[in-house]
Amino acid sequence: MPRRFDRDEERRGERGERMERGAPRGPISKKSCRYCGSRFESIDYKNERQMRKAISDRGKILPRRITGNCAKHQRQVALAVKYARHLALLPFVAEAHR
Amino acid sequence: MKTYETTLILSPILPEADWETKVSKYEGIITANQGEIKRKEIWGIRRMGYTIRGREQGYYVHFQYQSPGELPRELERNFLLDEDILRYLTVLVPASTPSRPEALPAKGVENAPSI
Repeated sequence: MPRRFDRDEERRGERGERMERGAPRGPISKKSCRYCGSRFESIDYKNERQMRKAISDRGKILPRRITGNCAKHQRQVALAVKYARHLALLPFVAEAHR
Repeated sequence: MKTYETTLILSPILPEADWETKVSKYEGIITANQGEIKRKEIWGIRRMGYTIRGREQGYYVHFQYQSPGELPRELERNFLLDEDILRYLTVLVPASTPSRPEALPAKGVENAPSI
C-alpha cells in the first residue's frame, strides 16, 4: 500500500529533501491528469487496455492521489470501471486474491 | 431520439447458428421499434473477468443504435426472458459536447439565435 502524505510532507518531497519518516525517497514528480492533456483519449469502458491501467493488481480502482487524474476525469474513470466490471471485462477481485 | 449502446453476453455453449439467430432477433426488435442501428460489433468468445452462472467465457455482442427512449426498456425486458443471456448493459451515449470552451459560440455574437 502506498503511504499517504499530508500536504506539508509532499511539498518537502518536491524540493527533493528527505521525508521526515520512512525510507529516503526521490522528489515527488507533479502528476497530471492523463485525460486532460490529450483531446483524443476519451474514457471508454469497452477499451480493456485503458481500463486495466485504472485498476490496481487487486482489481481496485486507483485513487486520484496515485494517478493524478483531475476530479472530473476520475469520476468518469470510476464509472467506466464499474461498467466494465458489470460486463465481466474486468474482475471485481483479482484472481490471485480470491 | 437518443443514442444508446447495448452489450450482451450470450452463453458460450450455444451452437453457432443460435448466436446468429439471437443477434438478428434483437436487431429485429431494435428496427421494429423505430430504432436505427448505427454499429454492430461481434466481439465473439472472450474470457470473462469472473464466472457468471458457472461459465468462464461468454459470447459478446455490441450494438450502438439511435432510438426513442422506450426501446432500451423493451429490449431489456426481452433480455430478462432469455435464459441464454448471461449479462447485458445499456448505456446512453452522451451527445457530443464541445470539449473546449472556445468551441462554444461567443456571447453577443450577432447571428446568435434569439431565445
